[in-house]
Amino acid sequence: MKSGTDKLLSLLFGEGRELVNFRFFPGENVTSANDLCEASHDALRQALDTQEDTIPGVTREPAQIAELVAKM
Amino acid sequence: MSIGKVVRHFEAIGKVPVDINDVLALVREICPDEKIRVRGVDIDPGRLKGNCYRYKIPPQTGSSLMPVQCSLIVYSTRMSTFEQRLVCCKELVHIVNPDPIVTRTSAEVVHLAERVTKKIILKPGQTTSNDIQVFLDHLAVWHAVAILVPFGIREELLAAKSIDQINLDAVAEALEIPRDYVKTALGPSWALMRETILAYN
Repeated sequence: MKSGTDKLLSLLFGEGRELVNFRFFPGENVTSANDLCEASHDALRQALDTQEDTIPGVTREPAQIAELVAKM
Repeated sequence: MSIGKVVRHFEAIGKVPVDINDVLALVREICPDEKIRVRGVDIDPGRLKGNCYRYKIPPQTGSSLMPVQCSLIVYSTRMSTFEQRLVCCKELVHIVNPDPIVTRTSAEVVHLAERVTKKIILKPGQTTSNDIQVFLDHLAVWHAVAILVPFGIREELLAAKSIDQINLDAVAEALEIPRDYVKTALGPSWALMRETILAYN
């Protein structure tokens, strides 16, 4: 069975892709480099299979800072 | 355009919460030749909060086309929306503010994964390029905070109240970012941190 690290590397360089840069934002409970690579592989695999952007939105209308502070 | 200009752009607008759609639109404007995609994924944020994957797709052999530069931002949708916004913004920072040290090879990816899961070491003789990369990741978080917390809100709040009188939960709700980051952005050292961020851009 392939390690998480091997799976991530296969994906990063797969289909002729040339790596330009790669960054991790690890969680607080990640247990090892292999665990982080496995999670990154799973995340990127999902992302590459998804067509549309998903942007974390805002829940309220943006307000002018001065008005907002006046209410606080 | 640099990260400092992105920070100033949202400071000039002076509205909160800053919408990540607007940050993405600005990053796309700054990097018009880059295909930027942002995807929320179902992953345990205790293991991974996000990634920034930048790559080129070489043209077909014999083609006269240029390579296509792509960036894929991923973030865990299991985090709170406030944290998703922060992580997403931090990963976008890596596109607009290219890191001076990059991770391009298999060995570099492996070394970086090992480094980010351990404590950062910044001691003469022991520091490696991977330590610098971990440091740059931390810095990117603070760049994201500078974007999502326009300096005007700090100035207006601290002009009206002392730091102890400010309801951090209410400010976090208004900014839609996690409370702990608000605490830093309203704290005594933030003005200097922000100046440092802007001075190097």
